[in-house]
Amino acid sequence: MNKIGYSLSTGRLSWENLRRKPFRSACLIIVVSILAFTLFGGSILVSSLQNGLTSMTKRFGADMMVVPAGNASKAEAVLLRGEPNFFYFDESLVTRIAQTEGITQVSAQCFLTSLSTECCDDLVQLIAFDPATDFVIQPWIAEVRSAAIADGQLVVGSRIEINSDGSIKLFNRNYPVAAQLSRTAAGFDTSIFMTRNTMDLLIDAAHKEGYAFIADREPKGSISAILARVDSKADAESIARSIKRNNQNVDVLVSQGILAGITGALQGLVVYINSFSIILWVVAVVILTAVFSGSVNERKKEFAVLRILGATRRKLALIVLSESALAGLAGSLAGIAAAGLVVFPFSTYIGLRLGLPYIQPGFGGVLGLILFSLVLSFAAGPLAAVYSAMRIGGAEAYFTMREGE
Amino acid sequence: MLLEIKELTKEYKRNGAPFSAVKDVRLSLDTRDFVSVIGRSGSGKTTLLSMTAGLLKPTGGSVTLEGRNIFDLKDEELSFVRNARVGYIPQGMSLLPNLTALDNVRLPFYLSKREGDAAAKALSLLDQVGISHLALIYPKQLSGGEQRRVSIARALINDPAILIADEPTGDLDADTTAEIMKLFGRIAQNGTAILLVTHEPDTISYGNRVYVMNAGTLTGKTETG
Repeated sequence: MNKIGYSLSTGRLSWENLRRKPFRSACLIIVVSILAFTLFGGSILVSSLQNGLTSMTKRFGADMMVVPAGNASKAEAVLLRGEPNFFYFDESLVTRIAQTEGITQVSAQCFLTSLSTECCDDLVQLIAFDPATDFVIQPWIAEVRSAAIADGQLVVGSRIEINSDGSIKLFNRNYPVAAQLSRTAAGFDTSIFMTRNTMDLLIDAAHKEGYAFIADREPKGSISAILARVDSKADAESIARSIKRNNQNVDVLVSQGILAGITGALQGLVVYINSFSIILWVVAVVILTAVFSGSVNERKKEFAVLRILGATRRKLALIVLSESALAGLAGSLAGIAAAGLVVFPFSTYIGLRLGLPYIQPGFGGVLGLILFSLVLSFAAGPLAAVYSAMRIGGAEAYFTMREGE
Repeated sequence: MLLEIKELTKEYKRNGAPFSAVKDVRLSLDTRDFVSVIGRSGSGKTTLLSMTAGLLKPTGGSVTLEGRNIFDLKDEELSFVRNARVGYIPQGMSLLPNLTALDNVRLPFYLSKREGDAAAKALSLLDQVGISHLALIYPKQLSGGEQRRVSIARALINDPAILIADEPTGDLDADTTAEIMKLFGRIAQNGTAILLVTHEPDTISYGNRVYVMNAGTLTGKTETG
């Protein structure tokens, strides 16, 4: 580039001032980039957790879940964290639960776990539902597949890897995958769904292949959970207590209770992240104000010279504001890029570490959060410089030039 | 008349008592005039120049430049007058440290809207003051005399009607002082009026009129050329 072929615009003057003071400029940029990193990283985190909770609430479907006594925590782990497990009780309980006052709909499910070496890195949860009564899994399948799934077909969660021929090997046999479900951030993402008939076929086939299921009862003909909906006017908690009272050998999980725990944890985290972001923003503005104030004070004579040369008060203010805007923009972009390098590649790890449902927003959502973080962190610079800009515009060049004489 | 100063006064309070830094000064300059004001430190010379350039508001009196009292102007208008019609050389080092010599010289060109090749003009001015080879050097690498030459070139970039210089040779050696004063002489001959204040008697021979400033009052007009 021609070394003299540029005009000395306000932006150019500000750029030269930043370029010729690399340490001061680097400090300004680092403060803004830490702010942008926190705002963008924090907002992605909050948004992902809120998405996760929304999805989980939507997918939970039932108001309560009845499981064999002593298995409540295992069932919760299956639902929330996808930790595979199995437990069984007698199918006859479905009728008894359905007859409980306040219960409007019931459907049984049966759980099984795969072998670790077959389709996935870890064990996966196999969940069988009854197509005639199911009100949880089928509406969800309908979102990705219009036809009902036939016996012998599987529907898999979003994190299950499917073979190139569209099948999954379970207990040494291949089964066709009819559909893959959208992400929920819950245990459903590492689960495989099938009709009860398919699971019975799968169990028979497994027996023929020489596999035995270690449980206190044979899974075929048994069930693992009864999902129930309660009347909108009824109180789920009191119905759960009633079921427990009348059936000694069951535990009852109430959706509101499970989700309330997650919502509470999530709200705590969101409040923490938001408070931290606000405090950091205020601290960044205070630090930047001090830095700009000190810098302008140090350069008073420089600004007085500009006044002598014919710069208006407005021009001086623009130079200071434009310097802060350039530093703010550079810091914001650097901070957002750095946060992006952390939150996107490590989203699965972050979700696992948090132990909460975590679904990152889509492209539009991410773009919105980038803009939000960019505007807030960028604004910190010029906002911090306003005081200095006003002060320098009001200074009398004559007195400034004579200071120290 | 290019510049007409009438009853210009600047009063301050010192220990509660009024004190006149400049008192009832009358002075006029026309094109090609080279006026020197000599006086001791604290006699009010810089205050007089600052008011003449519109950098300081007087307590009384007027400064009329090209027919307009500059104190009737708004900040935007006065800034434009200072940028376009007045070339001011402040006392001491006054270059912007983050800009090269060339950028310092052409900076005033960009402070108002105007057309033209500022870089070529700045290079030509640096050539006239004998330091075009230092165009891309930053101020801290320049000597005091070189910095002063850059300041002079900067004051001339917008073809001002009047050049105001505050102690332009105050910290320079005798040879450099003589060179700078000769340069002012050439500038005046080319049509730019010069108003210069100094406390060095050796420099007054370069102008065509000399005034003495004492305790804020301008006296002792002497025609020298």
